[in-house]
Amino acid sequence: MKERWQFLIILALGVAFLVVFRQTEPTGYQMGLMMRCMILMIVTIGLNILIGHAGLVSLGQAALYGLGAYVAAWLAVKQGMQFLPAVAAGIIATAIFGAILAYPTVRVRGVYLAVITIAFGLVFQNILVEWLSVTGGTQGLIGIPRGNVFGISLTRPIYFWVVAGCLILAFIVQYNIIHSRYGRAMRATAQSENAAKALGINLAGTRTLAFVISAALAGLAGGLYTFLNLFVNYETFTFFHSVSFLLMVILGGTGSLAGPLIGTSILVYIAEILQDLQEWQILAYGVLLAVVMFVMPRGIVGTAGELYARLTTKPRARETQAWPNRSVPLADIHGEGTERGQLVLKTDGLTLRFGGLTAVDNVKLEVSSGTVHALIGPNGAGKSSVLNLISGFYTPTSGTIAFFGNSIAGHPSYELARRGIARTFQNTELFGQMNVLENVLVGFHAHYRNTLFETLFRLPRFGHEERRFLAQAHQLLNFVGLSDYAEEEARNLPFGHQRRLEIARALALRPKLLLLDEPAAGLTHGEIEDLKALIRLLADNGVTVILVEHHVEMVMTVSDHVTVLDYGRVIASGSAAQVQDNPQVIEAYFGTGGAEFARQHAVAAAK
Amino acid sequence: MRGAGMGAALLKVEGLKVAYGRIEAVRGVDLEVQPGEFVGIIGSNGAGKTSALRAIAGVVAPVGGSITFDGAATTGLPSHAVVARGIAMVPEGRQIFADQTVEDNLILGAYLRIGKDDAGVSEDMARAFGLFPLLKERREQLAGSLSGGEQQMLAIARGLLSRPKLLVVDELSLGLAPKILDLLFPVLVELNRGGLSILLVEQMASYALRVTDRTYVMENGRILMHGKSDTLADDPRVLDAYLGRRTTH
Amino acid sequence: MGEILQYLLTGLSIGGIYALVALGFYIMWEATKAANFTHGDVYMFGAVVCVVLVERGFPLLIAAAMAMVAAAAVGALIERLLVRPFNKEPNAIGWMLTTIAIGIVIESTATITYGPLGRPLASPLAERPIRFGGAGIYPQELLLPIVAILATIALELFYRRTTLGRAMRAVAVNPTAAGLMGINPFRIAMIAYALAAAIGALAGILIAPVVQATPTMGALIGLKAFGVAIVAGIANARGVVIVGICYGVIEKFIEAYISTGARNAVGFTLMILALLLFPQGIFGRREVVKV
Repeated sequence: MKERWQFLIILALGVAFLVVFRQTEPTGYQMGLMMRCMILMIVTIGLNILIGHAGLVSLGQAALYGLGAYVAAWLAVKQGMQFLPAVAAGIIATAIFGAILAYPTVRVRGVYLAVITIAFGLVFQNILVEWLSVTGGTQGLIGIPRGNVFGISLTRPIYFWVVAGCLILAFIVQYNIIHSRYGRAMRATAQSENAAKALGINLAGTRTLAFVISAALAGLAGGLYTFLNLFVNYETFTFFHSVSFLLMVILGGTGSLAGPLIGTSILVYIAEILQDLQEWQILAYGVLLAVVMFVMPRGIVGTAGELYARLTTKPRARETQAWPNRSVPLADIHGEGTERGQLVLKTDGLTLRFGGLTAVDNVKLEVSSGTVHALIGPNGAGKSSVLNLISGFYTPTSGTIAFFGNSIAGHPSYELARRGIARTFQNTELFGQMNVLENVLVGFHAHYRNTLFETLFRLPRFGHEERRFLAQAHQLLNFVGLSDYAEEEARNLPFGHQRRLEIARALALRPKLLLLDEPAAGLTHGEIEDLKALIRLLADNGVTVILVEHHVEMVMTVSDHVTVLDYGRVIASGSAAQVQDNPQVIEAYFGTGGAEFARQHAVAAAK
Repeated sequence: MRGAGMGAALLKVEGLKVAYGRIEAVRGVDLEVQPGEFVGIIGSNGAGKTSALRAIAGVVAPVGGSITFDGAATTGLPSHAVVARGIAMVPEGRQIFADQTVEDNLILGAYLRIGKDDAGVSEDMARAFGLFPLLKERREQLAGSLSGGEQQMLAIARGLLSRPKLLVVDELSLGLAPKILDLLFPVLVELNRGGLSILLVEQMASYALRVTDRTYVMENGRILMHGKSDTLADDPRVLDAYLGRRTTH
Repeated sequence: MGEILQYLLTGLSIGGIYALVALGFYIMWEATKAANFTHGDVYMFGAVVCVVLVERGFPLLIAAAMAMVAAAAVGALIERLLVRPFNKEPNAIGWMLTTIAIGIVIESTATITYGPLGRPLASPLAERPIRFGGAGIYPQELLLPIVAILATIALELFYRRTTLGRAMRAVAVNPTAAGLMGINPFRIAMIAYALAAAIGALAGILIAPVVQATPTMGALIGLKAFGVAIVAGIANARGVVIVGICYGVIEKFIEAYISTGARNAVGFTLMILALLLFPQGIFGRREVVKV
């Protein structure tokens, strides 16, 4: 994989750089500067994961950094704790605060989290200054004893390698998280909340995890800082520092591996040069932030990467294969189908009211396994609302929904996804900035068994699962004819291909029930024929399909059962032929006089 | 040359293409509205009718083709500029300002004329209340508290307040009961008889065919057929297109 | 008794500042679902520019008016150049960062050119405090909550009775439908930001005679006001002003009964708690997102 080579090269270059640096016999001051720079890189790596992958902004990283520093300092000075436990305690404290701050706020708009992090930062600073007895007030905590690990005193030359080791660890953690289902889940939540939920990802949990990881890294950096500086005070952990961490990440290139390293180095260098010109330094930061946002929003690494890609990649003609590809064994793809004759879904009295509007009115549906059940009706009839109710996106006002006999009404969508209900969306909600293969891999999220620990340390089960799901993802792409597009970014796909990808991704969930929301919209005639074949193939293999569609001709030829809605109510339900001749249905679509019109023409045709 | 002379269409659309990202909603549509005509566009959902209308009204910018109104090009103009040229749109789903009163909504409809033609605005408001006495009763009520049918009346009245040359109506019947439609469609007919050109997109083909002079039938982003409404009303292909039947001709 | 009255009065005054600055956030947010994150620096800009103009010889009221106009221009430019191009995505990162950047630039430019020290602004209402019930307060200080309330009433009248105000509400609720009325949503956004900036600058000008104008006066005020606006739910002008004034009073009482230093810690913690309890804000409406 290209990414792993980049990772190893950067790592090798970094270590080489540090070794060479030590060979030049730097002064104590220079070593201290380099160590501070490395420590800040640990903070920005954490922030990079948060912003670049989970899409969340924190303007309080300096406070988390400070929290780690102060906890370690206090334990060392006041409790005589050793280096390792003190730093560990700092990490745990910040991780806990990260969870407390993030969990309740990640459910609402991003701005709210940003404001809470700012508030936290200001509260923290205030406490640092005021709580004299614990924090030492404006003076801070001084006289921190030099770190000591198993009897070895951490003097500067040795401590240098301790800090470097932690930075390397942080860099590895970054890579391991980003290239795992956790990283994919974070990117998914940032790119399409709805699709992420529909694939079984717990939004709040994933975002909180990202925040906690960034907090823990900041806490680690804080602890390391304490034992470097041997004194801590509030001036190092201000709002301005939080802003500069943000700038470091953005300047380097949000989301990239080397970005935080480059951005931090540049800004530490600028700070060194402008040391005596405090105000000019602040102004420079402001201007730099504005310039980066306007000219290089992808940062140095991002922009360089784009240029490189544009210069080196030759546009390759990609081959689209026919779909559905019947040579791909379906049993491998979606696991065991449901036995015939079971009642997969049953709704009774299902009603949804918003404000004064009754979108869904007393809807009764019964869907048997292995069948294709279509929901049709004029615009505004409530079809998509029914689908949203079944998939957990809306909560019914009254009525029941039973999935294999168990009530699911009002359950959150990610839980229903894990139970085997998959769906597609009217406006394909792909993870646009992820490639085709990754999109499908996100679909497997709910099936992974490996834990965060196994992911972080790349234990064997991680590798097994990644390989297994990668192979299955390729199978699915093969099934929908998109094998050649695996590396292509999803947003660059032609529309019909986007639809195929969305279906492949939904199938990755191994659903027992597949909900398709207007899958034929925008497809060419040929693509619609292929879609019909795919739907029939799935149904014949035990997957139950509920289809909302406007394309009436398609619906009539592919469905086993059709339910017609109008004004939120069921006006007809039966086979396609029955429904097509139902005068109420004709009225609903065509308007008053439609039935009369149809009758006249039936008479005329018979003549 | 400005002004519509004999034979010069009020609205002329040629080769219109509308796309949302990768979805091609309208794939090359030609249509026109003569001054004083009542023209309809019908077709099943997803046919592209609303997208075409939105391009004409300036809500979306077309990716191809041209739109000429009253002799001048309006292709790609944003909606607030298109209103200034004389096209008013009654949007799909009414989209009245629910947190403001009925009267406020009407005032907003006349936004471009306030301060320039206050006498005309008062006249038009009186006329709107004359057309829709129900609205007059509710003039101080919040628009969000009106029923669906009343909101549709308000949306139409609001459109009229800009004294447009062309009224463009998107899905009048959406979510409304037949009784209300039987009240509303005749209002459009009356307005048309008074000289207002109207372009109506309508899902309920039977209504559209009954009130319009000419109708275009759209399917899959293209015009399938067009002609005089009463002729089309006798054409079985129209109904089949809606119900997915392929009758043998 | 006199003490409590004192804290109440001073708290109302500070609350007036928060209310006015938060009102600015409300106006910007309603129009664009975004805001100038460092609106506090516009507040400072108003005070500083007014002081400089008075030092150059302009009479107080003229200088104040000119400062407000200058601030309005700055607000409109911020909307046009820094918010609009960066407001395309639902996550807030773009406009937050660009406005933070301009805030930093404004503040440090002020520090470099105007100097870090506070400079006085003479005002007839800040010469002698009025005393009653054992409490004393400059009439200038009382101007703030009074102006905040008047501004809210004026704003509500503006939104309800004037055509432009109705148009701004229309854009806030449904920009597409507003466009169909001939309302240019871009112009409206710029006007909203200009208005918000003028109000923020006014707050700075009103308090400058009491606390002196310094380049750093705005940062913390802005952050607190943004917090106030969000805690109130940015749903309506009244809610924002009520929460702003209450916060000022609460903060003062914390200062009095716990300690001066604790006021930010406790105050912000209360804000965090309020947001955790009311994720949409106290007076906020739940946003219904169509799937």
